[in-house]
Amino acid sequence: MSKAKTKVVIVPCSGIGKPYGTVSREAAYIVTEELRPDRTQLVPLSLLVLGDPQARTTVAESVAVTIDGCKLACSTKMVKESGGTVSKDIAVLDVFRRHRDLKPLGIAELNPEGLKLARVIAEEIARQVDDLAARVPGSSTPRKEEFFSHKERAIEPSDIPSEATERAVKTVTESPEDFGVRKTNVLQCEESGVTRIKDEIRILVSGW
Amino acid sequence: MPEFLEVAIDKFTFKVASERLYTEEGIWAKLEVGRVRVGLSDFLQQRSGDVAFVEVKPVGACVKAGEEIATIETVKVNVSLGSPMAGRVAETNPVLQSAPETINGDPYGGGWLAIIEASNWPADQRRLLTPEAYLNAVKRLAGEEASRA
Repeated sequence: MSKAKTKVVIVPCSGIGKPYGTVSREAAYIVTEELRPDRTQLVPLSLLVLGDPQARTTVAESVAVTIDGCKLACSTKMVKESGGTVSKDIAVLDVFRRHRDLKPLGIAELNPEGLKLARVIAEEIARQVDDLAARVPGSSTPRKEEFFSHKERAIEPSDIPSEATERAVKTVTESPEDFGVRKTNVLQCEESGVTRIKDEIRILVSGW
Repeated sequence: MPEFLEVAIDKFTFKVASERLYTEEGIWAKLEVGRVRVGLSDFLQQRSGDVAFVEVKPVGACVKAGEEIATIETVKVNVSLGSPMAGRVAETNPVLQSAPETINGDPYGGGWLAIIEASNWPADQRRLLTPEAYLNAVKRLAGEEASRA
């Protein structure tokens, strides 16, 4: 098994000349070089756009966290297009809305607030990486198939009473921001009939 | 008249909703049973960028024509928005507190800013632009920006 398969892939925005794109890349560097270097691997979006075989294979065989600098969400779209699985997509703007005092400015060099915002995002991703690892018993770094087989077990009706689950899903669907779930994801999920996001919601509220 | 007038400049398409009047700055006003609903034009929201925060004058506040009725903070700029008319704020859009991006996604619909009880609408509306006149203003402003790029 290659080293890449055992790591969570981090794919940031490649927007050049935009402070929010710079924040996304800065956050990716903090995670992959400082906070969780052993559990994460950075894959540049540009390689996916170019169709680089190694980058596509890495993404396709791993669980990914994407960081998008704007609503076009290129990183998330490209990971999905490459056959990858996005376990968490982070929009820099959404995080900024929770930290209004951290307005990013500057492009080649971020202002101190932008650097702080990048660190907030990086710490959020690090927690997600730890969470992914914790869901797979005996493994510190989940592979895609392990992650999902474990997740399927996690939502067995015997684990969570169906009535409570339905109630929880309804609550989260109506007010996803309260649970850190982006409303657009829930809506897209409902429109496409995909249940995966709802399954993630079930896990989020498994302590209901 | 079609629901929207449109102009494409460079890679952008800007819509101007009919049955509204506009300030030169891009605030629309739509008369609704004695009250006037206001919001941002498609051009203004695209030009300003993704909205992060919106602050609208509270219900009961009185504004003069041209006086600030709201501010938006976007990824690019902070914008002060002038009221198209004098009056009292009767309602504000509650959606914008939790989902300010609605301004970008639906500027002429769910992204409205406030409803105003206009105090002198007949006079104020004469100072506003028709959709056709505002479309010409958009063409001019967007053309100037495209030539600078």
